[in-house]
Amino acid sequence: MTENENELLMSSIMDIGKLMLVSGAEIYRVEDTIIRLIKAYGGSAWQVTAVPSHIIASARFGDRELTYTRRVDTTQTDLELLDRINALSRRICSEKPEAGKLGAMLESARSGKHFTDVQLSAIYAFTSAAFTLFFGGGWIDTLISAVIAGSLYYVRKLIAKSGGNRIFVALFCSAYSAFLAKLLCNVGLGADPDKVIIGVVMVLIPGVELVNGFRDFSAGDIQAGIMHMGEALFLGVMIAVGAAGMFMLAGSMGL
Amino acid sequence: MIKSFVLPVLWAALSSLGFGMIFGLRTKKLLYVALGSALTWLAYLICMELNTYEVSAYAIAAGIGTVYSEIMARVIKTPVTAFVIPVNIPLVPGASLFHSLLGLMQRDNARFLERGKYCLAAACAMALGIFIATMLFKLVKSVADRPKKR
Repeated sequence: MTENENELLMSSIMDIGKLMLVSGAEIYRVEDTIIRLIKAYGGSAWQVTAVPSHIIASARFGDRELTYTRRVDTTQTDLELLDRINALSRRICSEKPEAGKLGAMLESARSGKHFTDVQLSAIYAFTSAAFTLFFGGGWIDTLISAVIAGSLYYVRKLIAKSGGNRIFVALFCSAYSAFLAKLLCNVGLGADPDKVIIGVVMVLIPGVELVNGFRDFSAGDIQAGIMHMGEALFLGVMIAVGAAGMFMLAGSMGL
Repeated sequence: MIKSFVLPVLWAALSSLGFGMIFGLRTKKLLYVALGSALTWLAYLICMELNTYEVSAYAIAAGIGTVYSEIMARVIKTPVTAFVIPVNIPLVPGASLFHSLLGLMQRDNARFLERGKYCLAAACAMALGIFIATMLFKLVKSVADRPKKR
């Protein structure tokens, strides 16, 4: 392969790794995939490090050593996409297509079906209804939490779009849910605002960071585990602070 | 029986199903997610029925959920993440975290400490369960794989 092709190859491999990390892969899976791809194309002396916020990989192709980095600053958990990219990377390893084709292959794996806004709003409603029932809420509470969560999806999207970071989004969304829950329960529509709030904010919990953090630890990636767990802890506390704070505030305003 | 076992298990399964969809799952994997979640919560409820410590019940349930996820991931060839995250969601102690902070803000120290301690213990137990199950699974896998390599 020519030098240009090698550079293109490394760049595509890094894009695959980054997309895996963004869509919710564990650290060891990202590192393994990058190493496997480098190996498949005849690279040697690879050094691959990934943490939740960035990936660094270097490998020797012929007599040149290439080092590439990718910054990962978003999370867009999509486990179905992760499955497709995982399958794609295995296919690439066994078929070894030309480096120039990798970009297009990644793009076609990426453009799978996604839920629409209306569907996602319904999914939020369904999930929080299930959680409210799970935590022992009554039927009316369940209905209310479904309504709040359905609207919460749009609120969350709006704030995220207007540039709010994840911590602010978590804080605002949970406060919004708590306020609506208190309000609706106060006008007599629900019996137990507690159950409604918990049911709704469970939709916001950082499940990926939490579980992946545990799994990073068991894979021996302590640094990545600490980053994931720290993020999960911080977001979790922020969600609880937003909900409990608004619960108190609304209570003191007479709601 | 229905009130203490069937319904909670059903609600746990539906919550995980919803969570799976929020995380982008859309195929028959959702069915296995719901099944795994039901199994996990049933394990927790059975442990509680047998008067196990609540913390151990969390650890055992998380362990069973993780083993189930590892096995299913291999059966239908998909990353383990796709199962292990939604399946363990019902175990996340979100309610006790909320009540703990509510206690803190209402200057109800007893409630803050009691719920906070519970939340911390549950989270650690969950971590331990996932940790041990992953380790055990790796061990079993390496033993099972050995003869093939020779």
